[in-house]
Amino acid sequence: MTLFINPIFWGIAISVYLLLLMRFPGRLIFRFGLFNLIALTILLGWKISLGALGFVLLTWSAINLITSLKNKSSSASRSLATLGFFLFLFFLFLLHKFNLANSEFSAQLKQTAPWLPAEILLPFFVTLSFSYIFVRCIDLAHSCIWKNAPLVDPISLMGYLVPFHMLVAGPVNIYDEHMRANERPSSAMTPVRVLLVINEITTGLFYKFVLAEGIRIYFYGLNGNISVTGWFDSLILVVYVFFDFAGYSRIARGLGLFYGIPTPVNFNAPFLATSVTDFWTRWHMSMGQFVRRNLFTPIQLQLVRRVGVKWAATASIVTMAISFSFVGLWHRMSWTWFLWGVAMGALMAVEKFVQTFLITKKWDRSGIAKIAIDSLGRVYVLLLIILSAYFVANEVFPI
Amino acid sequence: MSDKLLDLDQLNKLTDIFRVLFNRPDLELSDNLSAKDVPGWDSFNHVNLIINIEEEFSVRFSNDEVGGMQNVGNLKALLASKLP
Amino acid sequence: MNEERLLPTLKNKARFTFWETTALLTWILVKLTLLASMINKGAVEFIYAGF
Repeated sequence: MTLFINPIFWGIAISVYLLLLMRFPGRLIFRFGLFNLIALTILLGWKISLGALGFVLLTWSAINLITSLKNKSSSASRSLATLGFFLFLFFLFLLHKFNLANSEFSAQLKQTAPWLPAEILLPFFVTLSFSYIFVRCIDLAHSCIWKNAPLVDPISLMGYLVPFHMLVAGPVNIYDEHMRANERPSSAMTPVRVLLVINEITTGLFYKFVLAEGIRIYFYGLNGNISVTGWFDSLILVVYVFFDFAGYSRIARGLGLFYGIPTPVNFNAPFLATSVTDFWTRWHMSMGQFVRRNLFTPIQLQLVRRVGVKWAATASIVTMAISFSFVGLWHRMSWTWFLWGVAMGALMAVEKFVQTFLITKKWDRSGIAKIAIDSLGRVYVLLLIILSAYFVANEVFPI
Repeated sequence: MSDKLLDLDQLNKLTDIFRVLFNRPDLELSDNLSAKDVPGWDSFNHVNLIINIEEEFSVRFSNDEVGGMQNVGNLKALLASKLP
Repeated sequence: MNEERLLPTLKNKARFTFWETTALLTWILVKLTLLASMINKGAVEFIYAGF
């Protein structure tokens, strides 16, 4: 986050915009990919950018290989290559997570695996928030391998996988949308649009550096960290994380709008949600949509086809638990986050039954019943989110 | 996708699936109707809806098609293109 | 909490009136001023979850 009050970052952000304005030859995503690479090199140094470029080239080659095997219809070798790619990706993800969890991991890794270029690998994982690159890789693989989307060139791909304005905390952009950025008519930046985009970016900065940090300083002192010892701390944590994360997302989205590079909306008034299911369509929305696109719908479809519509409800619970335990483990590789995910999945399955009951009773239509249920729902969501934050707090900000 | 349309009988069958699944005996399928207009039409029920349609009409949708449906108009056109 | 709810009509406008422009510019200026005052306090010891 400190990146966003770094004058160099803003200098680069504006330079990228100006460079995109100049009509250099090539498609928008290629030009963005190229300027993005330059921006990353200036911001993070050549070592990390080279590491990132190497990773993108590897990913590009792997996907290229898998899709070319598909055309030759040798299904066994294609499945093997796909499996190999996902194992490799998962291995890198594990390295990233272990490194986050353990400060001595770097030294241990050098001892146990001296053949790994740890000097380049580790800063690459830490600085670039590999968690987001990881989910983008899954979206890319799903689109190219299973949905037959064309694979873009490596430079454009780098702009999708490692975009400098979504460096630290997403959002999870969509490969299909990124690819289509070219097809949209070049939306001219009218003064009104410029004003709205500046408004978006300043609101993001305001959320993070005035509201989130203001709340932290007010309750925990100038250099204090949020430490959750009671329920009130947990509430503060939820509000803090909202302004921190939503602020970051708005800045990224504002820049994306400037560049014409699809950068999804990430928050839509989550505290107005009337159920936890509703909450997850409003909080970190791009992640929720990623899970629906790449995990929930495909798994649920396969499962229900196999067991039949009669068992659809049971299949939903299983799918929901699988999908959300993925989200849990994506946050941190720990039992706490795994259980958090399974519990969220189970809770949403329960909510589904309650919702069906309300629909059967017609209480979900307008009227006093609806107002009462919605109000109760909002209180319930807030209490539950506070409870869930209490549960995982020590993993978010370790004491 | 072809320009084929569903006939009246097929349309009635489709409407029935919606009415039973979402518990709305009075539901009418306009082309613009989308998930947000029908309480209960969420990711859970979307897949159930698709499987019900697949079984009723003996067709098969791909993952991509299931995820890409925006409204009833899309669904009708896609279904019509799959029917003989 | 959410500006879109406060300014729902502004998002879809092709042109702003004088007052709309003034209001939005003032709001942007207020945010920037508060931002500058926060940053100058040296309170920039930011923590981030590092997801």
